[in-house]
Amino acid sequence: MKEIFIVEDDDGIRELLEFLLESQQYVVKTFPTARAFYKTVPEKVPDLFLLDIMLPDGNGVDLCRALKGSAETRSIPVVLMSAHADISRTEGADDFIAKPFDVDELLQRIEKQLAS
Amino acid sequence: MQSNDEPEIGGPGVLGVEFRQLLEDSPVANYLCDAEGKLTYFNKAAVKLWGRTPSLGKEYWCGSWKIFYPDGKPMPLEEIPIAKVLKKGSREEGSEIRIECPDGSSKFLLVFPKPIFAKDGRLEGVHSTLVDITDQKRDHIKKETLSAIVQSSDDAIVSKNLQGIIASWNRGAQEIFGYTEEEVVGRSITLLIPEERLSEEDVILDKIKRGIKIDHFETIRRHKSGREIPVSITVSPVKDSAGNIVGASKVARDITARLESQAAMEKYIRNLETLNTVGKSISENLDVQGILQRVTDATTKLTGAAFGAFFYNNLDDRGNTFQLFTLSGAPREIFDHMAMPRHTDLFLPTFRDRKVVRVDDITKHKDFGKNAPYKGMPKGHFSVVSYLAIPVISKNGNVIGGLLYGHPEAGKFTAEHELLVLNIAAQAAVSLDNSRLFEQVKSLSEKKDEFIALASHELKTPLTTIKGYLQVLSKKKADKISQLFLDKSLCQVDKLNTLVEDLLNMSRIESGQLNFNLEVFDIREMLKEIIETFSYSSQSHRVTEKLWNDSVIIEGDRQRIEQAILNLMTNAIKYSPKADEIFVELEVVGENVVVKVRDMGIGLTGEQRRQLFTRFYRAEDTQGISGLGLGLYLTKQIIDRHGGKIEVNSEYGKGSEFSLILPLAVQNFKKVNAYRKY
Repeated sequence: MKEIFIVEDDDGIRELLEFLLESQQYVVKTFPTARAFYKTVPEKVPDLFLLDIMLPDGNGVDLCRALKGSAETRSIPVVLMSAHADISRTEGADDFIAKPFDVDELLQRIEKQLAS
Repeated sequence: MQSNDEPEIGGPGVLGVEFRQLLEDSPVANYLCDAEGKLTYFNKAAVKLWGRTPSLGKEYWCGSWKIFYPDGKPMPLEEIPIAKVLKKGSREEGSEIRIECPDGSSKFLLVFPKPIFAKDGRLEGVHSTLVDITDQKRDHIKKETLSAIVQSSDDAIVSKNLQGIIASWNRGAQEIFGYTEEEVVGRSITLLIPEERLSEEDVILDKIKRGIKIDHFETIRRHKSGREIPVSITVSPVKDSAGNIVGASKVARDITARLESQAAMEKYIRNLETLNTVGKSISENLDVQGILQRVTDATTKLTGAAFGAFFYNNLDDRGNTFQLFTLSGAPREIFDHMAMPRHTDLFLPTFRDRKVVRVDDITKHKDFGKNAPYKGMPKGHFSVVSYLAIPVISKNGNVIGGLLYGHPEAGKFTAEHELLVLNIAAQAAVSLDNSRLFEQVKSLSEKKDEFIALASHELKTPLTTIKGYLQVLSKKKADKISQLFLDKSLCQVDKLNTLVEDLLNMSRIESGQLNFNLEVFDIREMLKEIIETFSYSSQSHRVTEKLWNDSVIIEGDRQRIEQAILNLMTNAIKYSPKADEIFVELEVVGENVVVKVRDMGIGLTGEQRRQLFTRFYRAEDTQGISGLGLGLYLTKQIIDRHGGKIEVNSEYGKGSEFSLILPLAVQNFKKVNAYRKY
């Protein structure tokens, strides 16, 4: 079973994502802040990262850069999420999805990243 | 006339025949009258002089045609010299008369009448000699006239010989150089020449000797008092009647006034230029610090002040009333210890009462040095004696601050300086006002953009959640009604999302932040996809297409162009609620692609067409049709930025046709195929 780490500060979206992904048989761990995220990573790593860009104490792009720059996490796919459609395909992320997203599209992209 | 050869009265016969011939041949006019005044004899010279031959024995007193006083008044008979002699019986010494000859010419004569007495003492007649002094008279008049001219001239007119010795000196020369005629005639002209310029005289004399005139030569000469006078001199050679150069005549003009006004003019022009340059750079600059520094520097220089400063009319947190902002001519450290201008009588007029204050010697001012602990100016570096303060006043009448200048010497600042600085201060005030406004606007604008970015992000967050759950519900096979409601809800969520996107995009376009992802793609393929999706989702209208029968490659931001076309098509449907069809066409015209979207809806009036692409514009009779009115505005911005055009053709009540024109990509086909995306 594939594991996904989600970093998202909004409760509503976090819950939705948890529900959506668990319904697809993924194991999900959620973090509301970058700080919380760093407490776990890189000791524990998932099969995929799903990161919101706007965080109260950081930036998803910076997280992505850090993950890609570190040996333990470099090979793990990163999908960035944002309300701003413009910040796309940046900083080494493997994929990107705009909010509000289409549920099917989100699931498809995650599946695609996990398959490769 | 006694007509015999043996004259008894004093006729020529008395003198003897030799003398008679002498008289006859004399070049001087002679004539005789009897005791009654009748002409008895005249010689050839008299005839010549009179210009006529009188009739002997018939004419009286004189053979002239007409007689006048020398000043031109006609002479009455009894005043004629001969008549007077006859009457008085005594000589009249040479009197001057003026006669007119028959041919119109006039002559000046000296008359010497002499009574002739018989042996018995009886007056027998008058012998008169006439001397023609016409030429001398004319010369004399000329000379007097010339003399008057020379004397009345304000210029110095001086003549000298070839050794440079002064021969004549007019009143003008006395006025200019201070010497009287007596003091100077007979002395060398070098008396007037300053030592360092003595060689000029040699050059001048040399040229004069060669017959060359010196014209308007500007130089310096010396007054009797030693004072130097700037002059312009013209020296001409003076020739004698034989044509030999015997001396020089010199005209000298005092050009002090001219030089002064020239200097004033040059200074004025320089000041204007400085004002202009400073003014330009002030008005070009929107940065407050820059403006003030430039103003302080320029005005310090213009006034010749040792230092200049601008103080803001503010309260800083130490309770000092005025705050030093810019400084010119002195290091800032000095001012850190120095008095900030306080509420003293000296500074208050400027900051509170908007007055210009100019003091020649501030140490004599009653308020100086009284405000402890600032007694006087800081030691060691410089002192301030001359003081000038000019308020800088905003358009609404507030004193923004004051420009202060100081100099260690007294009386350095003039009324002219005041004017100059006031002028610049006025321009600076305008600039400062503008700068403040600009800062405010910029700040507001930035705040607005920040707000919009934040708002759109915040708005999208709950939308994400709503959309997500609605989609999940939608997937669970529910009853038809539930399914319908879910679809409608999802539709609204998308609409809401679009609205938020539009708002954000508009803000981005305004602040120039919208970035395009340029791609080379086939717009025909894109249109095909769009039309297919539309046909599928639209319940009310079908799309009739007429597409170019070949690939059409353009370069642009795919997503945004798609957005633009979707927008047009959505509008077409929206604004033709009673129709059931819209038309989409694609064609290539020259080097451009033209996409047309046509509807048979409510159409647009001329006024609406004009306003259509402006922000927030919505046609009036669109009740029941939702939207923010940003769509077309954004569309236009996007197309314009792609180097294209958007046009509308419409007739009110009949429908509208929107044309989207974009440039074709300049690529050959091979390359294009490689870029194609499916």
